[in-house]
Amino acid sequence: MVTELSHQEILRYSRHLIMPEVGLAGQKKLKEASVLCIGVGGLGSPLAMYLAAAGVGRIGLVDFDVVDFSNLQRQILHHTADVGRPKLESAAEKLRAINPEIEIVLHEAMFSSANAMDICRDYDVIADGTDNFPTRYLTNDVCVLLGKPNVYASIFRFEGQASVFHAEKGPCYRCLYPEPPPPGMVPSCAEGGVLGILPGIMGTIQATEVIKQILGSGDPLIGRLLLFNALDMRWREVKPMKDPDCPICGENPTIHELIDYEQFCGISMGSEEAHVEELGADWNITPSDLNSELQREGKVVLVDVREPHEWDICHITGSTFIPEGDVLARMNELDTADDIVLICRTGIRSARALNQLRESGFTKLRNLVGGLHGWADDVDPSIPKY
Amino acid sequence: MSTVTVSLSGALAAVAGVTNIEVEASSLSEVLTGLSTRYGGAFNEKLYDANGKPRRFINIYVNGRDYRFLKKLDTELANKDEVSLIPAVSGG
Repeated sequence: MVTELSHQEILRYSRHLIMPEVGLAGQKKLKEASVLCIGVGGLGSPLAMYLAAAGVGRIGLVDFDVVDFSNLQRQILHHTADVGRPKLESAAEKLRAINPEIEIVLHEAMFSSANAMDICRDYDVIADGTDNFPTRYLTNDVCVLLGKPNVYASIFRFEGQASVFHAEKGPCYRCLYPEPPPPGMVPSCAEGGVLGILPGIMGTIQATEVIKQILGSGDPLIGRLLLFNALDMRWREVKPMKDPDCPICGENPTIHELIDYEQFCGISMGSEEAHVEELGADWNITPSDLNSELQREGKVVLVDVREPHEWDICHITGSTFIPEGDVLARMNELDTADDIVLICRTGIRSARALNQLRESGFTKLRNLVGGLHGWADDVDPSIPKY
Repeated sequence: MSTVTVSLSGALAAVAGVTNIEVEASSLSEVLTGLSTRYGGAFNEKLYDANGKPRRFINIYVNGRDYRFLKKLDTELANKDEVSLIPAVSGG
């Protein structure tokens, strides 16, 4: 089939067409190309928007989440009126509005070992805009096994990383990071925060590299890890090497099919909620039960283990403030005879703090399940959720 | 001894509270020892595994080259060399 551009498309893409590096041939390559964006959150928003505007003929989107208020600070595909809608529905609407000439394919599912090969097989380039380690390793392995380029970016607070992992031409993600961090060692954006503009910058780098892959021009980020620091406003580059011992793309690979990535990353329940579950019911207290105990004027010591800037946003009146990192050093401020309830934003850090105190000899400890979010939902709506 | 510029990022920068520092060292292992002494417990917990080796999710580069393909921790350093410690990050 010969790809042609309509008069309207020629006008739409005229700023591409007048550059010889793209030209008519390049624009036709874009129209014939297919790209899968895994995740339509922070990175996926600018990525998919620019790919749509550039005229990539078929864009697949994978996500299963719904739009939340806390997404709006950075996920620019989604607007205030979209809160509560499926992200794919919201994304498809905006992308079709940007460019009705292209095809948008929706894969509304959790990207998993069960569906990843089938979903990725039909695309030329895969772009990894996910937000967790299991899915990053899954995306890498699918791309290595299918021989497809994986255009990668990830973000943390003020910093971003970008690269193109294409095992036939350079290192894969596992060559850089043979093992994931232990659960809880590297905070997610939900835990550590992220500057809203950061995914805008890194997602746009991804879109650039996707387009270069399709055009086959320029110097791609293969074998190059690009690092950005927004506070320093500085770019750096290092040169990762292909690891001959890599278990999937090395000389003697041991991984020949997709594995259980949650297990590989040491996560049994999808996230750190496992930490809380492991505590068992005796170590937990619900917000309404805590409220009842406080009403009965029993002596309950509330210890808030969040960070100072979070304490400034909101806290329960009368609680004691000891950030998680200081709990062991400051435990002499607490009395083992008291009934202590540990509090954080959602109940995960406080569960960790509880374990630290338990190992140090405290026994009358409980963790506020759901943290301040639960307290706001069930007891005191004047506490803002963040 | 050489004066080496060290760049920290991700979870390591978060616990150290800095992104760029200068360290006096003649080998990569001396750089890590210097950082450990300077930043202590929480930093060491992130940097080292139970066997006292740098964790596998932390990439270490000397002048942009992966230390695993140089002389690992014995990699010798000269004045103005740049050492980067880059942990994996997953946010998106």
